Amino acid sequence: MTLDEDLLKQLMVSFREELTERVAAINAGLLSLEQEPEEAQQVALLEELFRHVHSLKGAARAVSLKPIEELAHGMEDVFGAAKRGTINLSETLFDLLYQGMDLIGNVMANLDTGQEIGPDLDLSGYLVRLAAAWRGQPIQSPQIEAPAIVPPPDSEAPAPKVVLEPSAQVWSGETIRVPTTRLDDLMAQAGELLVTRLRVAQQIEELTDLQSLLTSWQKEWQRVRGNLQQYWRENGSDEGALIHNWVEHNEEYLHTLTDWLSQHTRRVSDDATRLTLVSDQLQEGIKRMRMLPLATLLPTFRRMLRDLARSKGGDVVLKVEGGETEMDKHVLEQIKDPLMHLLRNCVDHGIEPLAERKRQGKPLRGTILLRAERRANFIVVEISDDGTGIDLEAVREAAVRRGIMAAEAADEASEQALLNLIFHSGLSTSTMITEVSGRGIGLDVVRKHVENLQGRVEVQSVRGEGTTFTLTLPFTLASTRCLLVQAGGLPYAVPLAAVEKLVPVRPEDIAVVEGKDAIRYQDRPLALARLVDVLKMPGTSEDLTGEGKLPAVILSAGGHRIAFLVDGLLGEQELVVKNLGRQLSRVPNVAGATILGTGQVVLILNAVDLVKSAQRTASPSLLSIQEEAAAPQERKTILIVDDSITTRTLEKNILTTAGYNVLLALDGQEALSALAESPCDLIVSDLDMPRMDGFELTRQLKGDDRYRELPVILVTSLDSAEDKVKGIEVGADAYIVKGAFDQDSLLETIQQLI
Amino acid sequence: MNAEKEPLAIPEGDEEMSPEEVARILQTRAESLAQPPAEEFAGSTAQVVIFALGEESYGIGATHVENIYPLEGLTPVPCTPDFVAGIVNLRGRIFPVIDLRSFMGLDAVAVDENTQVIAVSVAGLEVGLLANDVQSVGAIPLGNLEPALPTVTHVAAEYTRGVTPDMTVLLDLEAIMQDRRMIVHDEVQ
Repeated sequence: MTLDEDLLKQLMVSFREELTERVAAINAGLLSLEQEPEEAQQVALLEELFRHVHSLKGAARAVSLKPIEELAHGMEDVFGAAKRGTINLSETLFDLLYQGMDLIGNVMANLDTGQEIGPDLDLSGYLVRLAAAWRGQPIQSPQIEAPAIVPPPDSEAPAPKVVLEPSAQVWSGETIRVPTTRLDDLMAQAGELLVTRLRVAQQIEELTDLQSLLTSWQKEWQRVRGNLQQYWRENGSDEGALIHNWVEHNEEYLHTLTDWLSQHTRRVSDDATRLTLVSDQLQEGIKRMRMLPLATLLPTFRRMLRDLARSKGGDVVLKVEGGETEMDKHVLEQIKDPLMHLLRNCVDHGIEPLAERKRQGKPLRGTILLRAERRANFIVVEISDDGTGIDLEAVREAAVRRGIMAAEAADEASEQALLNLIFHSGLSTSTMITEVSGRGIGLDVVRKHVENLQGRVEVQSVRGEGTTFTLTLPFTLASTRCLLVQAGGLPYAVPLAAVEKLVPVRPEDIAVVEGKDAIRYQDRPLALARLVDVLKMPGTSEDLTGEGKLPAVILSAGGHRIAFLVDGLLGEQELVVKNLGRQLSRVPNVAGATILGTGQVVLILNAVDLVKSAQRTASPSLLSIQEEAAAPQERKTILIVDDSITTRTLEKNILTTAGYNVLLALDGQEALSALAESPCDLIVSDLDMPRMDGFELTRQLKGDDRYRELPVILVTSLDSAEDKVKGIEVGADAYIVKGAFDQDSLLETIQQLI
Repeated sequence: MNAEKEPLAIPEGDEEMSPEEVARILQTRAESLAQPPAEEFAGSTAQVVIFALGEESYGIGATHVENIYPLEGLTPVPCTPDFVAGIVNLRGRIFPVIDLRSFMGLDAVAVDENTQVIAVSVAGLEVGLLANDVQSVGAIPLGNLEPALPTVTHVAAEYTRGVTPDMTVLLDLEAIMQDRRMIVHDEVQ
């Protein structure tokens, strides 16, 4: 690599950091500006925004990233004019400015994947629109992405926005950037201190042993001493005197030795205590260095909620309590997406439209409460809304329809069991699936993410009042509280968070249910497996015979429970988790390893994997819920309706590659005739078509008994709230916007519907 | 070609040089000044660590070797291929321990109290290699290497650099560690 390339590489690294910080600051600034603060604050904000884009422009020029330079320049002009007071920032401008930030993000993303700027980004088009917007000319391009706002029925209602309660301040303070690998190294070294501490404790024990040796020597001496004195008194001689002196001298010597040793042992003991104290504090301190407050996620949430509220046409208040609660950085990063999805759910499914809320006498603004607090070794994060709550009947019906639960089981299922079903992938009770949420895949992923962190997610809901999601996450990932067990002659560690209960198992407790072992637990059969069998490890294991009993560990993960039979329990301990390195990148059933104080290596098991692996051998009838529906038996037929031959060909390719049979139609009219001749399983239709458009087609299909159950996906290039609402009205099952059109999104939606 | 002499050639004061000649001289100078990448088995000899696995002797480039430890506390890892003998604690860090013979499709290495672990760093991976006995570290000439024919050794040729006259199989550690099979990455279905 030439010198120039090297320098450029370094510059890019710092540029990326700078870009991330500035983009975050600009987004936050825009959000604050949108709240229409008072004059003085507005001026200050505009100054800051101008400064940020100006610096960004310069930085981009330094690393020769022309697209970003141009984008920043365009926005600089806007902020400059606003700063001078020559223009006001309208809603359209705000939308465009946010778009600009997103475009910058896209350019960086393209850079990461090695492309220059994607041809689909249309930067020059954007810049033209931006310039037109603030220069006062009407915007020409039909591709504008600013959504048309559905005017609220009550015209006094303010424009949609997201309000942040003042308590939810973004945390800021002096900071230093430190690579997390350095922190991990420090953690490892702090762990080494533990071994040294144990050795010191060992030394102290030996010193104490030495002391007792001396003490017993002294005792012996005491016994003999008296006799010796007497002997000398009776027999006194010169040699005797010599020996006598020598013996006296020895006694003193022994005394001094004992005193000295005892002093020494005390001092070492004190030092050891101090060492323990300091190294504990050090470890705690290092653990805390990896902590960040939850509030660092807030700017991203605010931005997302703002965009959502805009496209939905409603008003939402986000209240935050406990934003200063700190959590491990890695945990924070991993729950960002799950939390975003849950918040999205609240806006999309939870909070009702304005009219409905008014009717119910609820406050016009929907409230979403995000609360976090530390409880012992866990962080509990709650997301609740005061919206419509979960429709248990719809869940029940959807579960039966999608084959996830048998009808009888669904009828008997408890409220909690039904609520937990919403985490099952493939289950979505949204009347219409939009590409934002309602996919039903999201909540399953949320649960997976949380469980990967050895946490839990639960839901509570009251129909008509609202829904609350509760995430329980570990306080620190650096160490985990584990249960140590013995199996097949080796120790293993199991994260305590996944352990539901420990139960003793006797031979008479085991029943064979459909060929597999099970025990009775909470009045239901619970699958039982031997840990050594699930791990496929050799080694002798205790056999359960006669009067004996063995402990079983009941693990709960991914909505399932299995009891694992082990040879013995070795105790509970807080263990430092070490990963297995790059070569053992992902080992089934194993989460990592730890080094005990004695230096012994113990494997830490992965509870989610274990439960899954055990299920491979467990009989399906023991489990109340089937896993994913079986693969489709025959090829399904999909009818594509679109007046553009390009689009038809593209969609046809995507679908046939995915294994579907495809029929084509030019418009709604043709679609109806095609359907009459050959039955289909699903329809993908464009909106704008001659003779009969997508809406009319859907309306007709849904009004016809023969076709009412036929799923219809509407595909369009316009991201319009109006159209989406219309789509719901005519009864479409899903609505996909072509701008965000990619084959995955289409295929996923199709899979969900048939 | 006497390319080596060129960089030292100093043109006479009154000689006019064509642009091509100038370019050529500069190019050769640049090449001779440029540092070649450190190659494992470049040049005429190589520093090699020789160790025994069972009856055979193997050699690996010393540039990869970080340290050699006695094997203590090998912990087997479930659900891994046979060539992963287990993991071990080396100075507070977890290292996977690889049985090279097993990886190359031969009989597994017998582990006893004299077995050692050679900690190596290759292709961005840090692992420990089982060794029954580390015999020597030193330079060996590369000039008279024989190809690794099946009559000479059972080790597949793709993993070797050659065989020395005294039957030490020089392993190509980079090829071994970059083999797709080396990284264990399995999910539970």
